[in-house]
Amino acid sequence: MYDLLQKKISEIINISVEEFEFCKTLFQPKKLRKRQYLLQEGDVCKYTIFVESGLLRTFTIDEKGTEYILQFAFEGWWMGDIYSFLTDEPSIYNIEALENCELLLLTRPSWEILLNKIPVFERYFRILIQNNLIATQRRLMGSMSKTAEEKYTDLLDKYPGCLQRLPQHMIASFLGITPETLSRIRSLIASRKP
Amino acid sequence: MGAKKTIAIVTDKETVATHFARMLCSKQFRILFVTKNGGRFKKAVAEISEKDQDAEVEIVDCAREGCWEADLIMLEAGDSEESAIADAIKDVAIQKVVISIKEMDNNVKEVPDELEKLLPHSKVVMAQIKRNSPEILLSGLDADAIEKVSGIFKEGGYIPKFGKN
Repeated sequence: MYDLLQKKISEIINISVEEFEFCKTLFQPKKLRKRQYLLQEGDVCKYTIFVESGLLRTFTIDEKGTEYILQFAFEGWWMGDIYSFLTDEPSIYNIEALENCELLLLTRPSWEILLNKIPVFERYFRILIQNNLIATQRRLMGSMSKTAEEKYTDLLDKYPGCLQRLPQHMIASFLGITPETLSRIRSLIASRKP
Repeated sequence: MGAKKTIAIVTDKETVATHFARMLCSKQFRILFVTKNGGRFKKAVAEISEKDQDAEVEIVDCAREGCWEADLIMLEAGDSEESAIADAIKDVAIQKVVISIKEMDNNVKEVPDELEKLLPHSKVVMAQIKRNSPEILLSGLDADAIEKVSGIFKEGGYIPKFGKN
């Protein structure tokens, strides 16, 4: 239940067995079935979420009913609405399971306890936030300056397994293009292969 | 409308489970009846689903699986059985509110030490109910958990009162 969390933490910081045992007592284990929501727009995001298995997406819907996917979270990833989590303000996002998931949820009070009791976690979360900021800046820059094909190939480079796990319309939504454009790009790429 | 929270009601008593499921379904909770006697609960599931098309009620036979899915756990069982269930769910009930439901007698009960020991990282709340009475007596060590449980029962028509702990 905690294997991947332990692995991911140990990639960034060193903590003792006892510290990890303590860390485990702060996470709420939660199974979420495919299509269930962990967060809906208007709720306060009470958790920062670690994905042990399965796949989540964060998205928002405009008044016309169009979905905009902000992020996918595969195994070993963290997800949440950090603004809502830190401010207790209602979220503008939805978080939905795209596959059956095993999650570990950390509330704000538990997060504070973790940071106080094991200060090296300050470093861990700082690095996570840094990485997230870098990824967000790159995604923003990419969405402004790259062609649809470049965005698609970037996605495949970064998440090679995503085609098998994500429906085409969600990939299109994530890239900010229409499903028809995505289909054209895929055909074009396929036609270039020897 | 927010995301539905899941409540696992762990009991073999159909009447108790049905009573709480009816109360909670209308409050936007998804209900899992966790029981070894699922056959006896099928009628209740059908009845609740028929009355409220948005109701989500299911039967699960494994306590650990049901409580792993749950955001909040309700336990209704005799003391020894309760301990066995607590032992089975302890690693999936971490940081979750666990409500131990008991019939009210003349004594104000505290959360049993054994349950606290078995679920040291859960937020255990004792809820004592009286048959045919809207009163419910809540006690436990975690004030936030008591407040949360109180809110749920209040919305369900109960009058929460607060005991020791």
